Amino acid sequence: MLHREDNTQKKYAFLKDTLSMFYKKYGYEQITIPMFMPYELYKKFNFSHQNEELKLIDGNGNILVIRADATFHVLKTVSTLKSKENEKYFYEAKVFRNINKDYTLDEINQTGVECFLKESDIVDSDIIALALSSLFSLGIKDIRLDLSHADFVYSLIEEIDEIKKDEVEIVHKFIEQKNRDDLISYLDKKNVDKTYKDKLIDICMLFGDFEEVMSKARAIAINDKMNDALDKIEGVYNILKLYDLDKYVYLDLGFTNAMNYYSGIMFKVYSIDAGGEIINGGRYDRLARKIAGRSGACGFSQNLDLTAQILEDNNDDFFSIDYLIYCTNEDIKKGIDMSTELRDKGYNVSLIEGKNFKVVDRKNNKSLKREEIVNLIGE
Amino acid sequence: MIKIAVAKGRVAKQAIKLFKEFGITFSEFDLNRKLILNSDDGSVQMVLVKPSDTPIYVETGVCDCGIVGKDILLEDNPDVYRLFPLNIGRCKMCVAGFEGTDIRNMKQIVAASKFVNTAKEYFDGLGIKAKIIKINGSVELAPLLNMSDVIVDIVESGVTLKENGLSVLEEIFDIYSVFIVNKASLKMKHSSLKPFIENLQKASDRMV
Repeated sequence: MLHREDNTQKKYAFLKDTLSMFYKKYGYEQITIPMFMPYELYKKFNFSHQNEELKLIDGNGNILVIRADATFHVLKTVSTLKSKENEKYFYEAKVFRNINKDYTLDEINQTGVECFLKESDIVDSDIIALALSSLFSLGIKDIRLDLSHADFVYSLIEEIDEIKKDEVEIVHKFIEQKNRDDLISYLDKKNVDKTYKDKLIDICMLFGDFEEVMSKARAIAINDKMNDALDKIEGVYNILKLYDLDKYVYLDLGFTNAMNYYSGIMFKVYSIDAGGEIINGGRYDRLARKIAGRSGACGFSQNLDLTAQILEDNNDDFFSIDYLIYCTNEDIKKGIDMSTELRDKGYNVSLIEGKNFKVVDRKNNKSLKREEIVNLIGE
Repeated sequence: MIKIAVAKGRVAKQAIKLFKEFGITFSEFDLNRKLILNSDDGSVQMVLVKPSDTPIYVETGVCDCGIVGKDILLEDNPDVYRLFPLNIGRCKMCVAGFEGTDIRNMKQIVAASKFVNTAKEYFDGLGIKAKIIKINGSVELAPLLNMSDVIVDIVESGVTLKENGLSVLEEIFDIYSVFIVNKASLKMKHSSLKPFIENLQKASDRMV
């Protein structure tokens, strides 16, 4: 058990280090986001999910939410920053949710990126490429990305007079669950026209191979907005081909836009070993305008707890120390010089007191012989 | 190999009948107390679980799919795909109590149930102020010992109720088993799951 705990910490450190390095390569800057937010704001911007957030009362009697949605906190932070040309941020944060089931974590470790640029196929596909390549950089390859668009289902439901604005969520929920049985009963109860009903039922299972599902989706689309959504998905897909990433990309037009959060492209990355989605993302222009005063935004968040679960238990990369230098009071000078030299060469070195002087190669777990030390740093 | 979580007992027996319809047999079943059984052709592994635990096995991806009562889905609302209902495990969620209890005219009520959320939602919907007492088994005892006015529970034949002098007052909803699938499994094991899913649905439809 102890051994396992030990590795879990190393996995998190490895994940955070590797991912932040990777995000930087794509031009993202790290920002820190606040832990607390007035509950009123959560309510005002519709980020409150069925009392899932943990709350506390401050000294003045105000109710604060302990970070339950990282994107919301990023948006509030960005609203205080001066807008600039290439605005791309990443964060690393815990979010806290009172999901109220014994088997779900209340404390979720996340990283995420948010790019404040207006909608374009180039920007959106770059973010998707980052999501996939960052997983590859962790050695995770057995994954699949599903693409969708917020308008596809929404603009179909919008046409149906029998479904009122506040009932859209119910229909969304059944489609999201691929729950055709309850969807049919609901639509029948509402006397929804058969043409619409059949389309909504078909959308539940509208997932799989890109080309195949795309042609089925074209047949279902009945208005310009639905076709525009499909055009947008195709545009992004065509650029992903240039990244050579299309073999990971599938469609699922049955995942919907919970809380009306997204406004454009949406995507999820699944891993069978994690048992679900490890990355969740999309474009959310409406919120970016409303909360941060930006023209648009697209991003994703990655669940580090599930990602850590997929990583092999023993991976050399988890060990952040390259060399251990043991020294005594007699040869402390030698120890200091040697560790300084190794650190200058880019190695991570830990200097500790020992019974006699030795240098240990941490990865291979062996003491270096004199000539090996000379090879490494000279006389 | 497809891993499926199935509730021990009656549902498992009915599920095995369904699987047999399309050639998936479990000759080990009922011979011993094994909780993990492989089909004779090795294509399916059945994990026998406590009914209310079924969604957890599927949600976390330990099992690819599962067969679970609608009552449990409504109570727990797990994050899984609910592909279709199966014609097994049929029963009803009911309010039961002493014959003649007129719940519609009660301003407040005390109900005992294992299904706290379902019970609360039902009485809320009727506008009756309800106190729900969580009881995990032999719920019929609660009105008999004057602990509650009524119970909210699953009724199959109604024999247990009758023997304890209680009867069904209102039916809340029909219960049947639902075939659920893990989100990642449906996507990433689709080629092996697809024929199984199709065969299962056909076999279930034939059972009507």
